[in-house]
Amino acid sequence: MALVKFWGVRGSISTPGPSTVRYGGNTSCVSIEVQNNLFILDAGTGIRLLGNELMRKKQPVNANIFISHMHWDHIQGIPFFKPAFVKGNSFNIYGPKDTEKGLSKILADQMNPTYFPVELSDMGSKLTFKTLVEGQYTIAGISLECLYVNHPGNALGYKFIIDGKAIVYISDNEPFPSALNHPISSSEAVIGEDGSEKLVDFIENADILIHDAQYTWKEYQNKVTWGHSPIDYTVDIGARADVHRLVLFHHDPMHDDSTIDKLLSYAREKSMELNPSMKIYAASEGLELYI
Amino acid sequence: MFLPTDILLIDDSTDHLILSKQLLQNNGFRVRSVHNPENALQLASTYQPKLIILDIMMPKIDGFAILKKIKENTKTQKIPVIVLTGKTFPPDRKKAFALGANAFLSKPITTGSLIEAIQQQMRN
Ligand SMILES: [Zn+2]
Ligand SMILES: [Zn+2]
Repeated sequence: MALVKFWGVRGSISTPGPSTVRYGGNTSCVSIEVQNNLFILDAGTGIRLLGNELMRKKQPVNANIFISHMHWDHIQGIPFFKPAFVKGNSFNIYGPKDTEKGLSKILADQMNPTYFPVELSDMGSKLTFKTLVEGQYTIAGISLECLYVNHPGNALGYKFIIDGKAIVYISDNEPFPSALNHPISSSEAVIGEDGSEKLVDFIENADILIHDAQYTWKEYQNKVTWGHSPIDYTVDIGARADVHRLVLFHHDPMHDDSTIDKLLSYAREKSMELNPSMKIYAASEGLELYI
Repeated sequence: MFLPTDILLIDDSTDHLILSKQLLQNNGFRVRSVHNPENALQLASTYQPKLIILDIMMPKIDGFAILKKIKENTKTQKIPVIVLTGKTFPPDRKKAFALGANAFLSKPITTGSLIEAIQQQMRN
């Protein structure tokens, strides 16, 4: 049994306010609780809420944090993640290999005194940094598979296999050129390689797929190479891969609650034609899914 | 819609699926596999693969029933179906062809003969 919980579902920048209150305005953060292990996927502003929840439990926290890539909306919550300031807690922070800087340097940079009063090295808990590349790992007894996806910079998709079921997290990803016939966005890891088929293989038969669904098809036409998916593509690959539950994720900051409601109905309508057995959710803060 | 599928593999044994899928991919085919055979007809109809490989020995569901549905449905009946089976009894073979199978292969089978059968069906 595992619990997947959403703490931040917004893409690019946080969007507080009355028009986004139902789906939520915090940026990417999802937790997976399994066998007394806590896996945290991305550390956008949503991780602050998760941190508060962990503090309320008044128990030591040892968790694994997986950063999909180093853009702001995926790391900005770290300075506000209270358990990281508590002595005795420990965190393994995983992220994709960056060709120029190390993972810890990138995270430390956003907390240098110009930007934040407390430095990463003074946070109090034990932080260990480990870079990941495409491939297979076993972490805390759970099997993990990583895949480079199509997003500016090196970005990883993560697949956790729990009780034989796959939970896949691909927060930021754009269709590869062969899927749509357009130029690739500038991901160093995937230049020269077309990962369309590989990606569908990666998500095939997943129990839960959490995937970028930032744009409408129309919006996407002006945002090719920005590294995000039109909903049509997200639903199509989910249906094609016979995914059981698809979670639309990384909502566009311009989309208010009623827009997301409409996009969700659109996605459901589309999947009725393609693969009616696939369930579709729009990620919202507080959403809990069990496997 | 976005990516063409060459072969749809229907087989409810996960291990076996991965194996033959890899093998087919190594030979340059774009392959999708269905774990849940109840969904096979829908996926075939949506994605119009050039070929379906159907394992008839599925414990949870009757492969013949799926074959029958594929061949009865106007959206899928033209897609060639290779029936792959562990059963070697002649009645099965007969039954498969009677229901519209385009080829019938028994396991174990060499990669070479499987690829050859696939190419032949795709040419037709
Ligand atoms: Zn993002
Ligand atoms: Zn990004």
